[in-house]
Amino acid sequence: MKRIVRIFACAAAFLLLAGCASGEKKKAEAELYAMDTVMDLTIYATNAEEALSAAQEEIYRLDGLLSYTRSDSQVSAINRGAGGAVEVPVEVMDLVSTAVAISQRTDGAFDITVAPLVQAWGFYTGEYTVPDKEALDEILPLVGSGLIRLDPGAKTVELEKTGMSIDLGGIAKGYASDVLVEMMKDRGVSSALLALAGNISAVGTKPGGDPWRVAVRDPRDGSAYVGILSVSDLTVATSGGYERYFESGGKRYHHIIDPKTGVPADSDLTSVTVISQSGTTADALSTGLFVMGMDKALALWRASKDFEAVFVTQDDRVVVTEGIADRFEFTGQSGGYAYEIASR
Amino acid sequence: MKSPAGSALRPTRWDVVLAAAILLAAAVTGYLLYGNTGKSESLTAVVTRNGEEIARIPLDELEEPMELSVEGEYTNIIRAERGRVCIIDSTCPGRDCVHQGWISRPGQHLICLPNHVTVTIEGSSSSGVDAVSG
Repeated sequence: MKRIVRIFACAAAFLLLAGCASGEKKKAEAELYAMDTVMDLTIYATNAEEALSAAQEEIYRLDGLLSYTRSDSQVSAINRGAGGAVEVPVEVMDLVSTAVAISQRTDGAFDITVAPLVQAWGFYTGEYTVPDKEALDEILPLVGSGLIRLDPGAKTVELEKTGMSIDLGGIAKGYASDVLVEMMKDRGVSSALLALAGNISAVGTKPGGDPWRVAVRDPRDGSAYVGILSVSDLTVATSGGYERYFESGGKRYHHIIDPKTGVPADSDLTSVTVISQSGTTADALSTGLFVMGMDKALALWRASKDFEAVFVTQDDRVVVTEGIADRFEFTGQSGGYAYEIASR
Repeated sequence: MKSPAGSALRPTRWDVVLAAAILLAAAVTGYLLYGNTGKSESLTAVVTRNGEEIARIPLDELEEPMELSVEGEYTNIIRAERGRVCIIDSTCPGRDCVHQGWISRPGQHLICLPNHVTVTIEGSSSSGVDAVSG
């Protein structure tokens, strides 16, 4: 009898010890649709379910504030009030202010005032048209972050000209990831992967202590990767013209409009992946660097300390900045890519 | 005087063995459940410059040869094929690194001293992807 008791005691001790190794973390995951995209959240924590539902609520709250398409959003209020000042929550004004700063940093390559151009090309509705030069010349004077006036005292955002509009779609997912990462930290979550479409935040490490492995898609082949990043406490964001585009008269037009020319960015890049501790920076810069093209993008990287990048070029090169190269595993050889490391 | 009950509950040698076995089994189970999943013993070429790792090339998974250009004071062209790697070209004086030829086994090195570049083969790499960006 005592032997049997001992065996049970041993079995109990065994299960307890095996459980200790994991810290009794539970896994909670959700797929949700918000901000005009699909998001996958995976959280490992003792309080995983609670953290997950809080994260989901937060995403819906931000979508409600920042959506371009929802008429009840703060962004829609700013756009409806174009030509005058509109009072908004501080959070919204701060994000617009960040977007203006990144616009200046990228010499206008990233610009939230590009919305009327995107509209003219039909990317909001899917009713694609190639606008003629006259149409573009009418819209271009409405584009430029220099036309946004912010009044921190009155908490207002003003689009100087009627007809202007802003779209935070190129920065909102990154901002949301920063907010979520902060939430996870506050809750003591040390292991989570937050994939807001192609905007992926690695919180801490995998439950076993290894870094998260985030692949960079091959722009020419959706089933292939050009490489795999091993990251923790970083956000990885990719922009490229290979997913959203239309064809007309035998020509392909993608959705990343150059705010200066009004036409899809004629870039020597097929995709740009930015890796940064700031999701907001990663998201906005991935678009900005794509529009800038390889040379200007590399020059900006050399002048910066807050991000690294993976560039895929039209001429089939994968160029990785040296600060992240040690965490990048090149897998693009089967896709015909050459591999290069850019030095400072 | 020892009571009979105390004697029966005193740990025997077998109890110690059993306790050790439990600890070991728990550790193994914990590792299998939560540990380094995705690790394999495949060959990986690790490239360093100035002592810092700058690239990892999974040699076992190479379906086609690849070349990597490493720039420092000079330029090394590293060529990897399935299961092996070499420095196929270099602008350094002497080109000793090129003369080292192919390496293919864990622990082997290629070194370009003038360019401060090394290539080392390691016997493990991880595979599997948690998310895709793009």
